[in-house]
Amino acid sequence: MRASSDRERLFELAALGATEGLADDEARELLSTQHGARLAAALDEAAATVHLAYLAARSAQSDGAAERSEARVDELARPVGLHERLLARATAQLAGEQPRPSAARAGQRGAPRVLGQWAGWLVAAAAVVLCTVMAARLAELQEFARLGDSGVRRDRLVAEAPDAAVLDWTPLTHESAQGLSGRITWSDARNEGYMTFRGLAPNDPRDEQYQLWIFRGTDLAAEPHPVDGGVFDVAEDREVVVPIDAKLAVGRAGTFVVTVEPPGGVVVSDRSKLVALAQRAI
Amino acid sequence: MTLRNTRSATFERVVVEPTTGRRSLRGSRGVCLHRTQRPRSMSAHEVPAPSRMAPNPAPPAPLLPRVAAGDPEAVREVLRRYTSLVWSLCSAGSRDPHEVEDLVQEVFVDVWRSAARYDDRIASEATFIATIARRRVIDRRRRVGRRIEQESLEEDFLPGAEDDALRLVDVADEAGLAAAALSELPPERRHVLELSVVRGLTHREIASSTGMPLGTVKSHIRRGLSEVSDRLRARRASFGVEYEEDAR
Repeated sequence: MRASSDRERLFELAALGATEGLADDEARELLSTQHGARLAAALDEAAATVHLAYLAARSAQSDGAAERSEARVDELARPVGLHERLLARATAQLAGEQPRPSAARAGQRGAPRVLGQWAGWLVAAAAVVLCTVMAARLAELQEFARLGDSGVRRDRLVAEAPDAAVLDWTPLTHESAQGLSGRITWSDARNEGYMTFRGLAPNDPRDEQYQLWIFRGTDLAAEPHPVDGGVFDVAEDREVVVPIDAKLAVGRAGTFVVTVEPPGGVVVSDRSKLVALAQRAI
Repeated sequence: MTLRNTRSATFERVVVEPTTGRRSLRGSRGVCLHRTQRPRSMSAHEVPAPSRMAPNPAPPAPLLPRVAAGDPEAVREVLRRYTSLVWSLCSAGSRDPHEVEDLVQEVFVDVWRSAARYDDRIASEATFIATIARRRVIDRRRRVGRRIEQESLEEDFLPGAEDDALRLVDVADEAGLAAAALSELPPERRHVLELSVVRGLTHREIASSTGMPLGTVKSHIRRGLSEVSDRLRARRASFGVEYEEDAR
């Protein structure tokens, strides 16, 4: 009887979450069990498909003679250049490498020879400086666009989530972890977190990728199937902030482990290439 | 996965007569909307129904795995295909275009981050992206306080409904399943579900506007979502995708 009422309660919370959202304590209650997490995912998806069905029907409903004039209404509602701004941000977010060296070389090659040897060198030098400055500035802007958002979100999580935990990374045995430091920020209630790394070696995503694993406890051997926290890459040997992409609702996270895996990540890690670990105090 | 081309489909609606409960199917092509006459919002008695058009023989390959692999062309294609949809979902509760754009940006940041976990055996990309968008919208509503104005629920601020790009969105067959499930719900339950899911009213606001007891409203929403979820689960099962537990 008790189990039945518990399931009813979770069902109620999942429906509430899929339609008007949950308070932190309610979300924690719902996501603390696998059944609750599955319910939440199932009803979220159901609500999305219902919404799509209505939008599709409404779209088809307007398939008439006034279609062109109605479309103009949408143009007014949607800001000009939205698509371009979305693309710019996506490009910045997904960019992994900066074109600094090639830009500098291109400038050097472009120096005019007709100005004589010294003039040519001066122009070439100026072009190199200009290109280097511009490339560095571009790199800064892209870096901000790529990492700034995650950094802002991480800080916001700390500020807004009462249960947000900040844990230090402990470097493990893999060579990429030499000189590694940083921390992980995680909220059980929001199932959201961010990894901050300094000194984590850049990887070539064509060969290997980093992958995060989230354990509910602290005895790793007792959990053969931790939650996949997503694969990620590090492009430069400097501070990076990586959002955690938990594939499932974790509930209470006890331990976070980063491994090195084949491109795309794996479903089950053999745990042979251990990079870093962060663990809650028991 | 079976996708339907909503652009060229003769999309049809099941119209439920409120007095008799009888259902009839009406085509939407040929409906002439005058310049001053906007498409009506979906009434409590009208249900989107899946098209009878034959499904596309070869569904387009999913884009999100290519996004996850860093293919910039796939990113462009996702934006081309889904910006209108996301804009529609995000703009339902606000008249401030800057606020909506912020939200749309957040949704796509989430989409890029989540692209690697997309599985086309489980859901269409449209559903995957719509789920992310709805979560963001709900979070935002809770964060800034609810500011849904009844006026904003009018059809003239449901951009995307009239948008060509939205028509091109691959509204997959699970949306058709949802429509089919909705068509079988009692009109009262369907109405409550629309107010909640599509219009974003709180359960209390629905109780207040319809005169139903709050418990009844909650029950309608739970059961309605459960019906749709059951259909989606059955569809997955037909594709051989394991689903671990009954949603109820």
